[in-house]
Amino acid sequence: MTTLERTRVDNTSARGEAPCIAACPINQDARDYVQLIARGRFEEAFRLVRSKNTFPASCGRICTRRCEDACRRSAVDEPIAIAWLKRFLSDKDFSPSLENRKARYQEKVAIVGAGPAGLTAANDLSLLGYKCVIFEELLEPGGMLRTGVPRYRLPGHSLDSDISDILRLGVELRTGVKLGLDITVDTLFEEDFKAVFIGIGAHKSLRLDVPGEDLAGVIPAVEFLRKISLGKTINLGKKVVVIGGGDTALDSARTALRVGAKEVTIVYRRSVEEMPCEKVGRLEAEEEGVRFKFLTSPVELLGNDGVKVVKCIKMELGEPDQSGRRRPIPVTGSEFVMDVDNVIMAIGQLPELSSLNDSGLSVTSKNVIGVEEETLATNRPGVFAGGDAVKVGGTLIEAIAHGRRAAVAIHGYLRGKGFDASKGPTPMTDISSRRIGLIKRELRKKVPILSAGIRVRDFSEVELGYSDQLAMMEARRCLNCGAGAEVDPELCAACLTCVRVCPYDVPELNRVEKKAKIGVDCQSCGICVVECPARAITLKDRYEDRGMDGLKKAVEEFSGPEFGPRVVVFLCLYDSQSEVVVSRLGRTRSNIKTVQVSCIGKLDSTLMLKAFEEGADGVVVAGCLPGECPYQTGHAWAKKRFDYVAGILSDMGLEAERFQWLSPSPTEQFFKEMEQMTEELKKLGPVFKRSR
Amino acid sequence: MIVAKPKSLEYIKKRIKNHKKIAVVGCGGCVTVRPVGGEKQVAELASVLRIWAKKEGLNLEIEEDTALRQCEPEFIDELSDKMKGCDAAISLACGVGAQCLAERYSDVKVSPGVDAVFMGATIEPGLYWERCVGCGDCIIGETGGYCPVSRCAKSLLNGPCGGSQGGKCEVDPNTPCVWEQIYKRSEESGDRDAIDKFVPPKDWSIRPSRLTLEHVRVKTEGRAT
Repeated sequence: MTTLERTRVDNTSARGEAPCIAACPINQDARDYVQLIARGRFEEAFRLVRSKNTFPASCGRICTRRCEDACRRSAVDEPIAIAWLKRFLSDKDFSPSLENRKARYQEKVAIVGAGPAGLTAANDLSLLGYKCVIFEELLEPGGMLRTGVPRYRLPGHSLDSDISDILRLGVELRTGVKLGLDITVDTLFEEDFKAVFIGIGAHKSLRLDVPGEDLAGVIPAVEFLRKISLGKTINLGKKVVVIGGGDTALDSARTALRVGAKEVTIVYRRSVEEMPCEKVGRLEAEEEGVRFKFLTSPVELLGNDGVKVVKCIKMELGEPDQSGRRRPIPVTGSEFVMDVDNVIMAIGQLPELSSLNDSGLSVTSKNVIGVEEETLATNRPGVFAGGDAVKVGGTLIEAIAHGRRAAVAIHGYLRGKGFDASKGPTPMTDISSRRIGLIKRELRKKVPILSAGIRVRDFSEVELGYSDQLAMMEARRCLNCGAGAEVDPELCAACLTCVRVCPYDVPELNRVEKKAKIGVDCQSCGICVVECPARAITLKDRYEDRGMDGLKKAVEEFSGPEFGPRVVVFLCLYDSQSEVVVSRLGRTRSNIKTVQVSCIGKLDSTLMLKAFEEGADGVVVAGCLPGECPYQTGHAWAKKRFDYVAGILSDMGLEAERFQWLSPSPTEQFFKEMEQMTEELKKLGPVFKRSR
Repeated sequence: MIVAKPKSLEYIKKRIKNHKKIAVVGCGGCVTVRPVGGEKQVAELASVLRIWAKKEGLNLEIEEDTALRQCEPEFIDELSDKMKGCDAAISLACGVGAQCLAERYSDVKVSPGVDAVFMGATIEPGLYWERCVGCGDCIIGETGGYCPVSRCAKSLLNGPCGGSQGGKCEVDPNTPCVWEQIYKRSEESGDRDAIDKFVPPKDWSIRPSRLTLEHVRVKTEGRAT
């Protein structure tokens, strides 16, 4: 097909935020930290995560991952494992660069409840310059993360590291202080706190209201999980029934197995499709031997000396209710009984609002503290509230978002400024269906997990986490949505080169401005950036990795007049052997400098020449293996440019041995070829006489 | 648009060998679009020449610059900073641009770095075909939109010749016979003028080498300075 015959379909817009970022309640920079991981820049990635997210280790493990649900890669194969990557970073034990800082303002802020919302508010208020004191009823901070999430999902040391990074900002934590007993909102104001944030969570189990609920052996899930988490013992019998279908029900069932129950059954009144819990957790529970009884509801608990029998009734699904899920309706005459030793009630939680009696705070019809949606301000001036205390069933990331918002609102309140309720960013459009087939399929890298038989023995963490290599490979699957190529219309000569070279057919002619325009479906392969004759295209990505900085650094390291010979190796960052080659050459060869490029297809011909200009005696371009290129065509473009430059160099009388195209794998072969090249260069001598 | 091809490095080296400071000057027009003389090619050539000069031990300073269009005095003027002190320059523009550069900087020895070969179109990236010779008397209205002057090896006005073989030109089997294309188009459109009418030989004397468009011309003569 010739250019003149080619017709184009409308392209996507160039606007909109990456969906992973837009979907996150705190707009965590998921794309950017994933891109940093892809480049092996782990510490920077962690810093970026921590700049918005106070609980990286916890979020990396138990977040509900709206980012992954929104990931555009799903249309190609599977979403990027964003949470696993965040967890990978948290496992590295980098400390955030944030240090203990002196309060800038005189006003002190009291925070009630050391859960994720309260701790986040304290973190952000400290950074804004306020002295914060957190009052916590339990002896350890963490809230539901500490008492409600079992250790096999969130190990204590991971939670501790998140919290200690917050406390080291100068936040004061007072534990064993009970709201309503030791302190009240009034006493806090009397103690000279100028604002109060209430993040007391939802630690009261809902009742099912069936006969027999108060029998011995019937345990509310919140209490059960709290006791186990805090190291207390609960003697469970052999047979345990858990009532409910959410994550708390799953956590209770799996915890019951780990503390000695032999037969654990989850009883849920709707079907598996309606279960509000995480699918992965349900599958893991199944593997561990948890049984499920769907479309079943308890009607009565029976027993003389403690619960012995659960009388249930079968349900069928009727019309959808307010929540959009189909309403379960009892099937007449379908009653049956189950023998049990314990029943764990996991049907929901509410905040313990009795502790706020006489505080003058309004309570909504849903039995949570009433707050203004944007500012989280309660009806009482200076009192703010967030987390599960204002929205039951919230997630960790929502609690963090509340903490962040409350901090800004409290700052505004104390400084007499308003609250700028900025709307979150709008996500970009979906990837165009005609482009999906052009993107190379690459399934997500699974995180290794303990086998079911081993994991039920104790509370060891089930997911084992990524190695460096796996994390980088996973991160490189990221499509870098919204950080791709961008045309400077001032420089664009409308030559249409980009339109013609793009392997994904993304650039198009803006028919009004008569300039090229590149939409959000750009995959950041960089081919147009290099090919643009007017140099009008750049990557929006802020991580320069086309080799310019790398080469500058490499040639600076060449020193001394003695002859090495000096070699610059341009390597594809995406090649699976790239890291091996870089570290081995770095260790063993001071005369050979490596420059990594994120896809060798981004390597400009002028850079290959520049290496010689800056004093290299030999230059190697080591593209990936033909099948390995994530962009499919990067390898071919690099080879074409290599051949072109080789032609110019040969015209100039430079020996062919000085400029070589090698494959980095198999690595042994590569190192052998590098040896040979070094020998040849020794015979040839330097390109220029050494002057420095 | 003007299509050009790079001159050999051998030629360029010869032209600059005895100079101290040279400029490599690109053009943001045709040669940027059909990429042989844009900013990027300027950088490539300058880099190559620096390597060569260092290798040869020559004391040669090389400047790089690109004019928005090398055929406009205003844009050539903008090069003056980089041209200052240069005793030679390589122009990567077409012959028009290179001559304008030479005229404006008369103390600099300007040599071409590319050869303009024709006025043509992009058939696919990197493949360009001649489409116009600037004959001064366009007849494509009568020939179904095909120009036989530029696209027939013999520039026949009444084709095809006996060398048309299976729809291809005998001179180059990759080139379609334009007269066969003209015939096909005529049949399709039912306009048989091109085939039936005899076209007299072209009068090359009417082709101007200097053109005045009175309605756009701004006379500078006599204007107060």
